[in-house]
Amino acid sequence: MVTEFAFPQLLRTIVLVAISAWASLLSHKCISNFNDGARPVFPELMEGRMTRPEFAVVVTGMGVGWVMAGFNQWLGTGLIACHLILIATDCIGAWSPNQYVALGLGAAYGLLCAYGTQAIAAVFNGLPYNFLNDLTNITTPVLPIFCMYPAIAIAGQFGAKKGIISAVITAIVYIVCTIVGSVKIGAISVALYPYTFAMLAGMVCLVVYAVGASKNSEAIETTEEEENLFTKNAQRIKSNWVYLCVQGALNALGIKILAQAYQPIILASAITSGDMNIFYLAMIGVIFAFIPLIVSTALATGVYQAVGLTAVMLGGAMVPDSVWFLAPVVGFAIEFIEIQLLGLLGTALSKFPELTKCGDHIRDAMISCTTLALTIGAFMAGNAIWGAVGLMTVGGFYTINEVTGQRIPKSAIGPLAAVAVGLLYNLAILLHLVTLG
Amino acid sequence: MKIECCGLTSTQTKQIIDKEFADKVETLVDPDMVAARKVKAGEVDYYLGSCMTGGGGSLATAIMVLGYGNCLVVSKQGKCPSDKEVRHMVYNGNHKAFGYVKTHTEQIVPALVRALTDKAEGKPE
Repeated sequence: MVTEFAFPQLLRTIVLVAISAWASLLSHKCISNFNDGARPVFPELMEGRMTRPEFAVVVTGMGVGWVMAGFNQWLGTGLIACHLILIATDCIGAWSPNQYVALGLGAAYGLLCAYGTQAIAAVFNGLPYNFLNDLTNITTPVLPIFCMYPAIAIAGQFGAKKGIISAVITAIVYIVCTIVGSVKIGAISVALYPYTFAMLAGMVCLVVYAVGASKNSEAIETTEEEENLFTKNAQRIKSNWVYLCVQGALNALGIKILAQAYQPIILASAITSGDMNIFYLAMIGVIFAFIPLIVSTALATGVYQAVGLTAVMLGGAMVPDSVWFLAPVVGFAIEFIEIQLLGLLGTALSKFPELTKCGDHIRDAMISCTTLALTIGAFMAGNAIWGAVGLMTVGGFYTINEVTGQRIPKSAIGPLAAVAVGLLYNLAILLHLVTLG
Repeated sequence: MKIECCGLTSTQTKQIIDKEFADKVETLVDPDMVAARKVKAGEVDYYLGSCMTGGGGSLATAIMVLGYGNCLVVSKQGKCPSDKEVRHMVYNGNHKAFGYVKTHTEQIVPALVRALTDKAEGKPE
């Protein structure tokens, strides 16, 4: 869990408010939105097949689960996730009757998130037993399990055998790196961060298998009608470049100063482990995995993704601390290049449709790994707070949720249960059922 | 009946259908862009897709190719419908593509495919 921030609270709040207000405006104007699944619904509004309230209901229905997931990510990491902000701004923009309302409500929501999370943290800090430290356990298993994601993706797409081989390679690379520690090339000593190199090894395996598979894939024949639609939509996105590049700039600044976080679970683990390389490397996988989904939905609708192809998040995070103020420039430039490349990426995707399947398997593997890690982490946190009672509580929450139709998302139930353990433990202290040692 | 298994849990979806409906359903696992076009062309009957929320990435390509009206969100995060509810949805609509939450795959797919095959055979709801 990240508790120390290099940049002052006020600055982070201002940037968060700006991100939130701008994203609401762009969602309202159908220029960009964050929820890739809701994007295909935008043309229904733009072309008049749906009224704004009808449209807003659909967008909100698709977003609720994600906002909850975003809040949950904050509980485990202390970082305000994009999902908490940008999914909500999709909905705010959708409901807003005009652009001023969109801006105003978006800004208000940004403020609410910044101060709301602070207020909750303050309440936790004021309890007799502050369990925020114990909650850090939630992210402990993240890196070890997450660096296996390429192997999981390989298993999903190319079968168990290749998956196991890749998993073994990943594990061996990890062990070798921990033993060797660092290599000296001339006068420079290069530290071999085990998780980073293990994940890199897995990603290399993935690329090798994927390249092999894409040779056999057939190109999709797009009809002239589709071609025209894609060209028209690419043109619409390009014509909105000023709005979008400002959004890219804000996002890059946001992640640099941690006003908001993308992939917060990995980011928080990277920050606490002191090795940001693992986050950069993970982001390369994320960008690759999301390109098919984002490019195809953007070209089909003319609505872009609020974080672009997510490359602004990598670019922004990589800006050195000493020149942090350059992050918006980097974000602006990356977003501009992306927009120009959209048409080209679309053509590439129809030539190699296998890549979209790769993207699906990678995203599935990443989600499976983080869900498992958060669940195990929640058990560890429960145990750290209140031993057997903690384990019992988290286990109870988890299985009851499973058998009653997963009313709370699988990735959220564990961490929420861990927080419940913390609150119950404090209640027990107040009732003198347990005494603090 | 031919069904395209897409989305995040395409492999798992295919395995479930192949195990339980081997005699009635032929499964395919094409990339979503290909799959949705095959459904549109009538080569394949249905498109099944999963994602994190049920209504998101699972149906994005299907909505874009088949149109919003042909797609149905079967399960959402926080609400996994019962077999009976799934059956009711299938019988009360005429959708070509179905989206569900990836962690609901085990519960939704058997109920959904059973409803689709029964409906095709003219069995009552």
